[in-house]
Amino acid sequence: MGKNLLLSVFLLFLSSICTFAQQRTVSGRVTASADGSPLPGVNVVIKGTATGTATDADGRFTLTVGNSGDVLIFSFIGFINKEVTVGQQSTVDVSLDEDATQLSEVVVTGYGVTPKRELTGAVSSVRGEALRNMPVQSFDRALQGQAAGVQVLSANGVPGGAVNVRIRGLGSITAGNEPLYIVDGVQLNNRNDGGGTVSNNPLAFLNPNDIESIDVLKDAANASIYGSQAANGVVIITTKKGKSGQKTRFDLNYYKGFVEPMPTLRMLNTQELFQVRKEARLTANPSLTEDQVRQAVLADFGFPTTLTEQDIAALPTYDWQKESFKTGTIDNLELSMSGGNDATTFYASMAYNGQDASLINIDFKRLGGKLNLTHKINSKVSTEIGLNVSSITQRGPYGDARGTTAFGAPQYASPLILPFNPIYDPSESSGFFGLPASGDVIVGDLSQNVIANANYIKSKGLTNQFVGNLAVNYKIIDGLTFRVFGGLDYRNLRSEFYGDPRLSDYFNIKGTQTTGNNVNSNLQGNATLTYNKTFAAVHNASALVGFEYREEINEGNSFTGRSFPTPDFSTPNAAAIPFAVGGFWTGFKRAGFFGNFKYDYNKKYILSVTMRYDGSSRFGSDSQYGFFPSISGAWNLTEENFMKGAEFVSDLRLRAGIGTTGNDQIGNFDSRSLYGLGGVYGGVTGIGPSQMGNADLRWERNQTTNIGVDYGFFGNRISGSVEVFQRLSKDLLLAQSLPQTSGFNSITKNVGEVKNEGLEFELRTINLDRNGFKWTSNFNITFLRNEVVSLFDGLQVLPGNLAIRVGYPLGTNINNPYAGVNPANGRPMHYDINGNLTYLRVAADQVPMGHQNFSDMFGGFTNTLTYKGIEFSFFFQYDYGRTVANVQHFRMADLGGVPRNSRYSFFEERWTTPGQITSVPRPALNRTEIASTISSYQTTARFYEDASFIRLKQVTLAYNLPQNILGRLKISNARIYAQAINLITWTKWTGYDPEFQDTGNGTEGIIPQTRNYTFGIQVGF
Amino acid sequence: MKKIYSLSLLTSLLVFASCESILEIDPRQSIDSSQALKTPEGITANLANIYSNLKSTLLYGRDFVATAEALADNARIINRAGGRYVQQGANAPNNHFGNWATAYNVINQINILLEALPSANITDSFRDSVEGQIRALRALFYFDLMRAYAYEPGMAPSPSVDFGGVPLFLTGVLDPSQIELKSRATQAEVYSQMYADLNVAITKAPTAGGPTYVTRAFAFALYSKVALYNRDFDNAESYATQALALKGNLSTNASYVADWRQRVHPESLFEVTFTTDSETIGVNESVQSAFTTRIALPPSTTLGGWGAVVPTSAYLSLFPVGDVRRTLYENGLNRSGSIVIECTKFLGKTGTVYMDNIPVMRTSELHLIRAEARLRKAAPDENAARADVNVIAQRAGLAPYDNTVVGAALLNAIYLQRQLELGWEGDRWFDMKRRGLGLTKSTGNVPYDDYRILAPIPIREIQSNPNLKQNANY
Repeated sequence: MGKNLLLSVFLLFLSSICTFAQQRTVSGRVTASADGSPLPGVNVVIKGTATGTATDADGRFTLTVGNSGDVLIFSFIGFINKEVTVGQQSTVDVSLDEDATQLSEVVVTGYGVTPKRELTGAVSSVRGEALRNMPVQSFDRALQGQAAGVQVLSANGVPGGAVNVRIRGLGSITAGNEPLYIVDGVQLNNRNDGGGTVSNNPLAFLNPNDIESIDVLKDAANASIYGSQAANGVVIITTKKGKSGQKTRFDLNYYKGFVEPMPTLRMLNTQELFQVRKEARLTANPSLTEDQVRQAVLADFGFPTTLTEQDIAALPTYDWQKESFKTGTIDNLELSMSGGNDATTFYASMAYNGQDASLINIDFKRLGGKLNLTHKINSKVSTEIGLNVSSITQRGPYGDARGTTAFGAPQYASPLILPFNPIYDPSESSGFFGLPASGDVIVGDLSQNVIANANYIKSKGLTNQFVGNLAVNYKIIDGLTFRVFGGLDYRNLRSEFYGDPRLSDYFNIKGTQTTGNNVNSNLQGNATLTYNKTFAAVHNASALVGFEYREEINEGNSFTGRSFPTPDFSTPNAAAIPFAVGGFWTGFKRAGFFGNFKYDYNKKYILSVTMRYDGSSRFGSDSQYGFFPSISGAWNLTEENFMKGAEFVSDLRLRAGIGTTGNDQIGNFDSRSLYGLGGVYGGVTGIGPSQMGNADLRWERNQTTNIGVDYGFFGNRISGSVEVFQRLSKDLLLAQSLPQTSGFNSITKNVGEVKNEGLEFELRTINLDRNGFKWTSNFNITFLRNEVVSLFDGLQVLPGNLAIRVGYPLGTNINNPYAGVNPANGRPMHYDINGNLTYLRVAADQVPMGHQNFSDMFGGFTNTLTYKGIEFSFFFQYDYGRTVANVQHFRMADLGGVPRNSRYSFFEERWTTPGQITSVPRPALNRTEIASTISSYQTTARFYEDASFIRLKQVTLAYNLPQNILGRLKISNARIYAQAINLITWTKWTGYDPEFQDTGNGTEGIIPQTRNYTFGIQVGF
Repeated sequence: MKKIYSLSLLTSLLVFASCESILEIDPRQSIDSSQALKTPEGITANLANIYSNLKSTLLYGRDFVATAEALADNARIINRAGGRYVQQGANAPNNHFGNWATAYNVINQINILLEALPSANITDSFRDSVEGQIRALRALFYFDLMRAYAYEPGMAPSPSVDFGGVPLFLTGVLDPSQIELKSRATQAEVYSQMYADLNVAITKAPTAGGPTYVTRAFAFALYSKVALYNRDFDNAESYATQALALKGNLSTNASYVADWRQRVHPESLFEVTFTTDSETIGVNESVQSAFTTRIALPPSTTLGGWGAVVPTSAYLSLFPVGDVRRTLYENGLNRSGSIVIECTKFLGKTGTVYMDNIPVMRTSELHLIRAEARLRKAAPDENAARADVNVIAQRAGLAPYDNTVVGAALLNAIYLQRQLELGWEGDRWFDMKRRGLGLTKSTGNVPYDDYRILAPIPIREIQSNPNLKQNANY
């Protein structure tokens, strides 16, 4: 031993003497070509030797080379290798290009990661950069148009409000269609508990800028490992982590901006309103003289009947919409810190985000902190810790943010209030016109001063949320790892509503205050064992087995007090009358075993089998457990010899998979026969049968088939993927209508089948890359078809919901087709079931309208242009195929029939003279013609509109300061940027905005989207 | 390492062994059906739930009072409740009663409870008291279903539109296998079932507890009203007499208005009772709000409800000068630019705005039922009939009908007193219908042979039960 050592030292010594004569030193700095930032840890090796070094924190290196012919190889993960011949130079400065394909190389696929090249299922990945600095409060909103097959529509324009995410269509009728969200391994509760008070997006707890990547598992090949929760797809969010070997880095980011409302609707002015009201009166009673009509209308509107036409012409018009929709502000400030060494890495951030809605006194404020920590205890044991704490304060609207017909809600009422009603009254101490104490009355159906409502009502939601995870990995032997993971998602939502006693709704009850608490505790843990082994250098096998348990308890209480001494007192203790108490408790449990077995031959042929045996407390005692398997494979064609000649093909991979996933998004206790709390009588709380049980209630199953191709040409200058899929949802959970004579309304059963079929296409191109100018595009499109395949008992139409019928897509619009106006008399007509014209609408005449509230084509298109630190990008989002009844028009087409204002477009097109061809009937009092069979004006059939849109969703202009300036300022990177959101929209929709989700209230009173403009600066030290 | 292997093996074994129990979780707001009706507490709570359904806006909380008035001819509608009652006021198709689902839900609860009573762990007197109450209530729910959805026995305008009564369910349903798809029973079958239930109720219902709960007096009173609708005048008279014997107190002329201001009307045999503030129906749908803009009598000028369903001038002109009942109609407040005369029978008398008890039957009505029955029975007794109607007329401050008022004139006098006495209590629509009369309205007449006399059976019922026939023209 000693002898050998001596020999080695001698040889080493000898060799150094031998090379001494020729050696010299080369030094330099390695930077990233994109932003000129230094790259630490880059390997610098002399080609053909083992001699090399790594760059320091500043990107600098020094290396001894032999001769001028030596070639240096610079390599770094995520960047394209570069070779430089040393020549005579003593300084070698190098800038490395990012490798776009390598960056997204690893995909998080549930309980582990998979290299993208080994993927067998359909996964869309979005890098955090794509979401960077979007002025949105939750990441789901930032996902819009970014991933094929993923449709994201905001339900409304409330900041931090609900968003609907649909992956590959609608697979369920009454169980949920929401995907499973997992943040750093923690399965989230994504139920919106804000209800009517605030629109509370459960995903808003996470600062989108903390996100490293989002991976969307779209088919069963990968998703079936989440078994019962995966039917609607799985969205896996990975947050940023520190990197080892990195100098501690600070990033400061600040942006500020403003929120601009969408254009308001042109409503009738006072004089136009008088005109149509007169016509409506004449429709009811054609024999009235001009004076009689005028006097009747003056009386209708609360004016002295002595006013003349000249007086009426001089009446003012007040714009209530303009007072309701206002410009707001956006503020965002973040500080993050990351770094690490071989044993420990960390990422920590603190952030504040505040944004107003375009409607007065609705806003969102979030203060949050995040910490990700990894630590290697020894060579066998390592831990991961993640903590996210956030506190969100929202001021909510009056009425439900998801749509309301509350007369006191500005978003609903402001266009409809009769326009001669003043808004303000300087002689009142409140400054508002028409509050009950003043004795003045706001004339019309909409008799509340909604601007006073918005100013005086205190509607607030405070969400405190903690999401944390802890994992311990134990490397038992090489290739075999045991991992224990625990996660907690705890949320406390406190809501407050104060109805101010000065307002008409609360004047008689002297004010009301409701405080509610909603606590959700979502606890989970899993244990997994993974094993990897390579046999004979080409056979790679891996296995994962695990067990998981999840339990969620949701409970809450609320109390309401009434009768407050003055409006200055709004806390519960000031209420003279303890009015009502409420409370609830509910929960569920899930448990399951899962496994994944994978084999590949030299990365050329890949086979993967995934399965889960899963149980849920929500199902009947006879069928609590279900089995969800999948099998999938991939073939990397570029590994084949016959492809070696085709140099232009850089990547070609075929994938196919089939499998099942489950859906248990139904009520927690839907399978049981229950006596629940009922009404109160005589001071006794009643109980009564609340639910008919179904012990056979079982999983809703999705059977998905997916075939995909990943392609890359010309060194991946053109790359992307194409996917064809079918998703067959069987055993649909459905509230089957029962004859109400049974005493029950419905029972949850497994009935029916729905099919979704589609084609997804993703294309990434580098269009131009010359002289520092680079233009890249990213395009995706999804075509979707949806059809109800069967219902129970051979039924063709679902009783109680005529829109669900075999052979038609979900969301089919059903109505009495509108036949326009009878040119002879101006009365609206419909077609009956035989296609004959009728004045009378009856339910039996309702037929499918041939269109549906379901998008069949959607996607996004991003272009990024960069030139020497200047970056310009614009992003289009588009959504096609939705036809929705513009229910807002339902109330805006009365044309004086009822005391509400109407929209000008209906005024222009209304029937006035015999023979006129139009779709807008003559004005009619109370919306009805006097006849025993009334031709109803109240029909949504008139108001179907195409809600398709293309939207210039995002425009960003950024400038990265050059290194020579940064060096002087001792900062490593700096970026200033400006952004505009929702800048231009092309649509046929005539309401405020085509992006909304119809959640049952139609499209009425939805707080519309906004245009946002932000300016910001980001500095790294 | 061995430790870890054995630990994970142990965990797996434990988990496997308890696959069922690991998912065990029980609701805390509900209990299993089989446990619910075993104790006096459970039965009391279920009984409260049965009663509470009467407060529904589909029943006495609104429709059987306010909507009934809107459909009939005493009222006109001012469109100032955001369009509410306008369609009902114009008798637009499909704007009608909708008590179907609520009624059958309660009937099922009653059926289940009737089956549970014999084996429940309760005293016999409690058992009888509950049975008497719920049998009377079952009769009431069937009676209201019949009034809304079917013609009275023998009163169909033509056989072609007579689809009978309503389906008759007498056994409880708790399980899908117990669901029956029944067709409509005949009117006679439904009435004989109401008689059967009331026959038990008049012996078993408690004597105390009124008017919040069903008493024996109310069972008799309901029996007399059901018999009147069945044109079974002998029984109508006899049961009215028995009801009056148990509770015969009448308001006086002096107390007439004041009695309408009390939380509990002293004449009520049964009134749907609202107890705590949180039971208020609110400004949009309450009876008070439908009828008046006021929240209190003058001099208060505080604007409250919508005041959409208001008396026509023709109705007000029916009141003779000096009729104390006319005092209950007075000017409302300015709402949407108009001030009109409104009915003030419901003014938030519980002390909570928009919350009033709703009398289902008052002793005054018993006199009117008996007057009509005595006149229309096979052997009419005009003097006795006249005496009954004079109780009402004289109490109102009118001169009594004298011996010259006989036959059809006396019958019309009884009908007029009914119209005046029970105005804005939801009686008029049903009264005209049972007599086979249509309505004359400014918004368009509704003749008795018009299909809009009957309510449409919910379309989902027709779709989910092939044996169920829809009313004509719906």
